Amino acid sequence: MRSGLRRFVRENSLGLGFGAIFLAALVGQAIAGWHQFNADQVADNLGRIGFGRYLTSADFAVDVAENWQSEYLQFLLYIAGTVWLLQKGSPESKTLDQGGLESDEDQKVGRYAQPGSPAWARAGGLRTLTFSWSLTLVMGTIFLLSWLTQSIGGRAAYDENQLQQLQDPISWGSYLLNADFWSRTLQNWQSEFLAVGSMAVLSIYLRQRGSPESKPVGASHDSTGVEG
Amino acid sequence: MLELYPDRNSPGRSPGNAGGPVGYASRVLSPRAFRLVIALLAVTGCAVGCAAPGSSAAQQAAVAFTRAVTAKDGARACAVLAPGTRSELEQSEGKKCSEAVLSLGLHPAGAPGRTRVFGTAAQVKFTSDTMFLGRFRSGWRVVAAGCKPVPGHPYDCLLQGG
Repeated sequence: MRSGLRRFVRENSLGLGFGAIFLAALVGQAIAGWHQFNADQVADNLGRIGFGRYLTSADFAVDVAENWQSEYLQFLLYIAGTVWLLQKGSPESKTLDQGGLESDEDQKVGRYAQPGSPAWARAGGLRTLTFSWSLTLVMGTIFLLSWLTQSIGGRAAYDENQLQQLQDPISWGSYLLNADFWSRTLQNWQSEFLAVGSMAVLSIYLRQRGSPESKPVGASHDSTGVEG
Repeated sequence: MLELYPDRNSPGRSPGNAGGPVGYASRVLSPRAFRLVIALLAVTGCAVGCAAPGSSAAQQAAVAFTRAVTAKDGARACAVLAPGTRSELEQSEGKKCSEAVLSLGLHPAGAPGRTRVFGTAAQVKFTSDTMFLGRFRSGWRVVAAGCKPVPGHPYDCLLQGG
C-alpha cells in the first residue's frame, strides 16, 4: 500500500506539485486580497467584511478570473500557434520541415493508430477530428468561460466602486467597452505573451539540464525541436 | 422567479416547443444538464447587480432615513447614517447629528424606486431623491442623501461622508 502510494506520488509529482502550490497561492491571494479590500474600505469610511464574504465577492472573483483567462489564452495560443509557427533553434518549436497539421501516419490516427492509441484516434470521422483538436477546444472553452467570469465579476466590482464614489453603475455591455475591463485584460495578456516569446527565444541559447523544456546541454544552438 | 424547467405536460409550455437558443439547448441537453446550464447563467449573469439579496434591506434603510427626516426625528435619522457620514456632518455643521441632519434642507424623498446593490454598496432612487448606502456589520447605512446627478461627475449631495 505504502509503496503503491509512493509510486503514485512519484509518477504524478508534476501535477500534484503544481496543484499544491496553486492551492497555496490561491489561499494566500485570498488572505492578502481580503486585507487589502478591508484596508480600502476603512480608508473610505466604509464597512469591513468577513473572510467568507470576501471569498464570494466580485472583487475576489475578478482578481482570480482575470489571471485564469490569460493563462488559458496563453496555452491556447501556444498549443495552436506551434502547429504552424516555427522558431529555429528553440526546443519549443517543431523542426523547420514539420510546420502544419502533419500526416496521419506521423500523428498515428486512423489506420496508423497503434495498439495503445486512444479509441477516438483510431475511430476516424468526427470523433478523430474532435479528439485531434480536443486540447485546443478545452483550453479555448476554459479561456472563454474564465474571461466571461472576469467580465461579470469585474463589472460588479467596478460598479461597487462607482456607487462608493457616488456615481451611477453601468451595464455589463457598457463594461465590455470600459477601460477597466480592457486594462485588466491587456495587462494580463501582455505578460503571458512575453513569457511565451521569452521562453521560445531564451531556450535557443540557454539550457537546463534534465528538463524536457530545454535542449540537451550539449545540443547546438541551431538544433530545433529537440528536448533534454 | 426563473423557471428552470417548465412542466413537460403543460401544452405549449414544454421547452422542446420553445424556439431560439433556449429551445435548442433544451432539446440537445439532458434535463439535468439543461437545468445546470440555466442555473449557471442565472447566477453569473445576474451576479450582484440584479435584485440581489441585500437590495430590500438597503431600500428599507433608505426609507427609514427619509421617513425619520420627514417626521423631524433627527435621532432616528442619525441612527441610520454611516459612521463617517455622521462624523463629517457633525464636524461641518458644528452641531450634534440629530440637529444637523434636520437643518440640511433635505426634502421628502418620495416613493422608493430602483435599488441597485453591488457588494457592500447600494443606490436607492426615489421619485425626488437618490441615496447611496454602505453595508456595515450593523447593517445598511446611508452614506449620502439629497443627491442630484451631475453629468459626467459624481452626484452632488446635500449630505455625504468625508
